[in-house]
Amino acid sequence: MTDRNLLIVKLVSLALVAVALVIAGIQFHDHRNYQEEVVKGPGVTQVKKLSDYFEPLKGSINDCNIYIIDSGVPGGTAFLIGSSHPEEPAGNLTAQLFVENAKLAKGRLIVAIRANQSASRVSRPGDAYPLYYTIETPWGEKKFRMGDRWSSPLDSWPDPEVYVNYPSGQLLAYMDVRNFNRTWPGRANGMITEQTNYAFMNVIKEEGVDIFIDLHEAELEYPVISTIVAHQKGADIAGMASMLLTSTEFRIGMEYSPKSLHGLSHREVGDHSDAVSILLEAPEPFLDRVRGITDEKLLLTGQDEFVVMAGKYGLLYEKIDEKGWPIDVRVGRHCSTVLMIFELWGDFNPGKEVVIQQVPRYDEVVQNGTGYYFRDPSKAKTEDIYYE
Amino acid sequence: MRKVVFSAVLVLLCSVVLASGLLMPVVKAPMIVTTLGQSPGALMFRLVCVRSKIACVQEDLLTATQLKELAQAPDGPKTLVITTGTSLKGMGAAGIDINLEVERIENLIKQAKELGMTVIGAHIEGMARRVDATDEKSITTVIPKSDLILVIASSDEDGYFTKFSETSGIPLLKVNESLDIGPALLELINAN
Repeated sequence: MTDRNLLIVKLVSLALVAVALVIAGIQFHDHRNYQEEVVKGPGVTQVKKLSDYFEPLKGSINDCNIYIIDSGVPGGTAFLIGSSHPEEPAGNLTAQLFVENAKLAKGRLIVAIRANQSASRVSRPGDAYPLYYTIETPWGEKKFRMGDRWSSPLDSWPDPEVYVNYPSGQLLAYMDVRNFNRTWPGRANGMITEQTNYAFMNVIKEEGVDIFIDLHEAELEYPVISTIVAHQKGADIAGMASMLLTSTEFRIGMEYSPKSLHGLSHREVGDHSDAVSILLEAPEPFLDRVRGITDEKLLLTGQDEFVVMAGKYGLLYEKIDEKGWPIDVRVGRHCSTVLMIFELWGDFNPGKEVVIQQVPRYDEVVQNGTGYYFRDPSKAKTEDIYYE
Repeated sequence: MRKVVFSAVLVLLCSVVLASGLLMPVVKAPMIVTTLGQSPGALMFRLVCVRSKIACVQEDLLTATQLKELAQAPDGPKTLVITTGTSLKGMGAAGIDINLEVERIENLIKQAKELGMTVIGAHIEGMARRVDATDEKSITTVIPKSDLILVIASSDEDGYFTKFSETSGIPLLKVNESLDIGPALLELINAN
């Protein structure tokens, strides 16, 4: 090849790379800046910002909304968060369903839909994650950002060689300094994810939260699946919820929070506040390493022939067949489990009840679909629309 | 909530299945429950006892020495219940491993037999606690040395416990759900 032809090849290659960079850059920019609409439900009495509890977060990407649903009747205070890990969409969908529907007859409910905004504004291209997913509603499609497990490096960089959880001193993998469920109870002068946990701990303390629930999903290859993980303070409630739900709605197990495993909400929230802390796991085949094509369909249907095959070889900790684990099943499980835990909380703690109404249980969500419970922003007053 | 509890009670009253024709051992309260593998099975057993007003103490790390002291007290336990199936989170939380658990439980069963207590080996958390070698170790340590095997239907999906009962001659008490355990035990206690 002559020098002239080699130069042409180089220039064309450079141009192609530049085009790809621009196209990808626009997609990443749009994804990072896409705003999800939330219509304030009839029960929401106040919407605050996370920075109201920790000033340094003001204006930062992780300054999420804190929705407060107050019955005005004395009782307990519950706190529900979704999107600790934004690659687990049943969490934020359930939290949003509560915000748009829940009314309280007693006590208060506080909800954060996108607890780690930064992680919800970055995807995982190396694992072929889709950028968005859509949920069918009676009034059209509702679009959501698909996120990652870790906060975006754009917001938290560089990672340390080894992440040292504060204050336990436990050593964790380097990238877990960006993992919202490894950085509890947080640190005021830490990286942004640690600061976010610190702010959430302030919410828990300042609002006098009695019971805290963190919504997650897990791969079927992971032993801690379809389960309620409970701090020892909440073990009786979780154990009874597991038995009642298994008897009446669907099988769900229970696990103790290990006392020596630090950084997770079910451990640290209970250890560092008066609140009982509980974490819920629903099955999400999308996260399994043996999965096939990684796309929006898999995310929402939970159907994958390779995961089914893994199950036939006894490699999974949860059952799966060709029906998969659809998003409505996963959201329905979270709804019923949260409601059951709050009901039991009231039974175990008279005078501290949190009585929630107008939130569907498992059967209703599966029958009607998750989207049925989302309100149409085009028919809402402007002041009732919030953005995540 | 009341509706759920009522439905659950109704279901459990209709669903108790005594799958074995073998003679049931004497089961007396108070009971003491522990776990081989630190899963929440023992916690669940205590909760169902509370619902059925059966005196029961939960000691997840009960030792043979403790059992002897407790059994010699005036209101000491008369029945030892050991739930099987393991939890890595649970054992991690307690800072122990399966080998230490097996050693503790073997000593405990030996002590219980010396004290003349009835030993119930239970598996009440379904197939989710029958997935690996530690679960198997937990089951095979306890069940063959029990006076009564207590399981829920979903723990016996493959008929493992039914077959074991038939071949070993150890009676089996099989109920549909964990919430059915309390009434089934009450029947046994009242039959004494």
